Amino acid sequence: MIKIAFAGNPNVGKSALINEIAGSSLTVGNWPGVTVEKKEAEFEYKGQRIKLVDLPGVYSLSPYTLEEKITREYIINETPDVVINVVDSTNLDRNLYLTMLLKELGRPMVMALNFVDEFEKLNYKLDIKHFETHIGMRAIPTSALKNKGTKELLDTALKVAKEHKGQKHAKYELRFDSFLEKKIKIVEEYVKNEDCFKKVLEKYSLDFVVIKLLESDRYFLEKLKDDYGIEKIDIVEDSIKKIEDKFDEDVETIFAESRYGAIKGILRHTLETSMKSRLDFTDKIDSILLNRILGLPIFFLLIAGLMGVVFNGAAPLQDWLDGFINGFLGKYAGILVEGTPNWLQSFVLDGLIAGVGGVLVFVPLMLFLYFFLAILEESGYMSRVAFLMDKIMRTMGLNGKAFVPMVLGFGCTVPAIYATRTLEDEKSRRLTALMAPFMSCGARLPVYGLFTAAFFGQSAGIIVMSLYFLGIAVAILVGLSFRNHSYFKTDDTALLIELPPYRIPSMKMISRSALTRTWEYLKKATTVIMGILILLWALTYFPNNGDSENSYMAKFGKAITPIMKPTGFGDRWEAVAAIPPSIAAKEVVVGFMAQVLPHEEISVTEEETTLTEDLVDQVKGLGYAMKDSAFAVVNIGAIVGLFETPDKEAVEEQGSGVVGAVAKMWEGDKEGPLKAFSFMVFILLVVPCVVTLAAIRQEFGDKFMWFVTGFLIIVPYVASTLIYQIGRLFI
Amino acid sequence: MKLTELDRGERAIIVKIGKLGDLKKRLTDMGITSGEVIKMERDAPLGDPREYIIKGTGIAIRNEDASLIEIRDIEEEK
Repeated sequence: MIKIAFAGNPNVGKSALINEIAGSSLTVGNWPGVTVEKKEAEFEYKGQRIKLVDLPGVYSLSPYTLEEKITREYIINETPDVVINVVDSTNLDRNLYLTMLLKELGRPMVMALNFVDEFEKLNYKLDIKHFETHIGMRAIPTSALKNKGTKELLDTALKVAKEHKGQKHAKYELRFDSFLEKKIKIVEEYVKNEDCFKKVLEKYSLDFVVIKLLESDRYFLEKLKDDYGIEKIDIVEDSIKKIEDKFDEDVETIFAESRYGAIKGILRHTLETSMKSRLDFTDKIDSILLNRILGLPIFFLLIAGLMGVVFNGAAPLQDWLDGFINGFLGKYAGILVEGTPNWLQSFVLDGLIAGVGGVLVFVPLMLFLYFFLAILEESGYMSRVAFLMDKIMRTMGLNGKAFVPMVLGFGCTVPAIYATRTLEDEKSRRLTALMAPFMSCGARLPVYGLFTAAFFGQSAGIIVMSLYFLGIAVAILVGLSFRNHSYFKTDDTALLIELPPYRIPSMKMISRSALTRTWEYLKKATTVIMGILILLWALTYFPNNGDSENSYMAKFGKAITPIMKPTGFGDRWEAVAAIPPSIAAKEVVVGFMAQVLPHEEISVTEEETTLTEDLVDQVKGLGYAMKDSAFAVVNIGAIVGLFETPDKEAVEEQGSGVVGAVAKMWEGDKEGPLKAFSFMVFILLVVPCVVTLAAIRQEFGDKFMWFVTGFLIIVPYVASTLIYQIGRLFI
Repeated sequence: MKLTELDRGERAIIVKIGKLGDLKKRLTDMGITSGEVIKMERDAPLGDPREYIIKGTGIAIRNEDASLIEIRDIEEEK
């Protein structure tokens, strides 16, 4: 098998290029143990098995950031047969810096001169023949958007891999400053002749060893000490001192400047630029999008648009899926299991099918989210979000980009968790994921609707609004208290991000990556979600076959009622017992209340329909849903609907008479409204739902999921208790 | 002169990057090295960070970090 690794700066179109080459064989996952995305592909080409690996976009290989560490370690430890260095041809003087560093690693290389279409439009000219000689490798002009050069790139890469087969390290000319070259020679001689370095040179290239020694690369020196027992070398120390004395700078900077010098030299003779700049178009757009006055309003509009598109666009399809699974499939599954024991019927209908539904209804949401997030990212606007919001978000120890997941949280916590991927730094991702669940999501609204209708009447609106603000306040408090904890504190305190040129994203790549990532959700989240949903079903069904009032869940609720006493609502076991099943989905509280509270039910009769009629209905429904979804995407104004609390009638659709039944819970109790409020606060702050937990597990691993779970039980308990205990002093 | 003293649209030459620890390495890796021309492109609507252009790339740097980068006028050349 031929292993090909893709390396390059961020924003050089690396992913789009891989996408073009690998097509549908691309998979998206994470690098082991970290939340950095890993794209891979395996396919057959000209009778050979080929594996492509997309390394994270980096500017350098100094292993201080996670991404740089991954890239460097991968190339050293996994020894890819060839490294394709993707560069932005319109910005060679900066992009070639990484090329110089990659050359030091000594793997066979090929360069992809990407965005060649833009390069030509700018009227730049590159003497490729000479450029290849000077840079020491083949360079292929490519454009993923125009599907240009991709085949040639792959063929060349395979050829280079073959040429270097069996060779331990490829040697490149590095062209350092002549004084540096002299010192490099001295250390080189030493390393070559010293026995203790024999083993080191098996793994690392000579250039790499020598340069990292001279640069005093912390990480490499540690490796030398731990793995090979090599410590301080006098000849190296002496050389470093001489270099620093001569240039009056630290040695790392001197090497960096020397690399840039070499690049300048190479380009002076081979590259001809025009008066046009690659930033002309970008500058025009940014003068509006980053405008002092218009910048923020436009940003808020765009984010509102994103909310509308993702949630309202997905909603009709989600509704259809829900109806299809629970209505259509449920009905026919019901016919299939007719005559079997009651528990089996209930298991199939309320456990299994409802579980499948619980997983699948999120699919449209995922697709929409990944699609539009990718547009924001690939176009270059996401970096601007960091630029615009940095000053506000950094007070909470967060990156400006964290604003996006937070806002998405108002619609649904699940996409908010997945959207943390757009942050560069693992620790800020964690902190954002810890704060996002406090943004009151749409599924909590029916619960607010039920309790405000039962206890607050006219002032319902204000109460719901106060809950939103309370959620935000708690999130900020959490951010402020955790931002300095080592598990969350970001390593790089500086912002330092590139604002890349705006580019029109490749729709093909974006749709494909939305599909792969959604597929990843189905693969990773299904087991967890189904498992918990079925467990919850069993706990509410047994031991008395569907009699919720005497189920294990109810017993559990009754048992822990004393512990919940301080929260106020803890005097009613029904309210307490409603919370565990609410992690299936928050709106379940309404149905649960309808089941356990005594109330008058209004019966509804269903019409008899045949299978063909039902099928036709479903297909028609899908058509309408797609139409509605398309309209919703366009209709930005509809986002107001995301924050509308369902009124009494809408709540009663879930369980007729339930509002009255809930009102009776604390009828005549002057603390009733306070207890109801305390309950809503608990619902606001408690573990949002199984799908959120599954998302956190997929993105951050088991340990963090358990931590969040515990955290989201303690926080609501404390908050509800405080609110109730303080509130009652005023009643 | 400090980098933060540049107004919108003004250019200068980088003289030295001060005590920025690991950040210095990252700046260097992005091409922010002494002798390079740097242009202040725009400040964010809230005043901080600011966008600078160097080597044909727009880079956002916070003011607290930019204030540790020393610059000189282009006219003072040699």
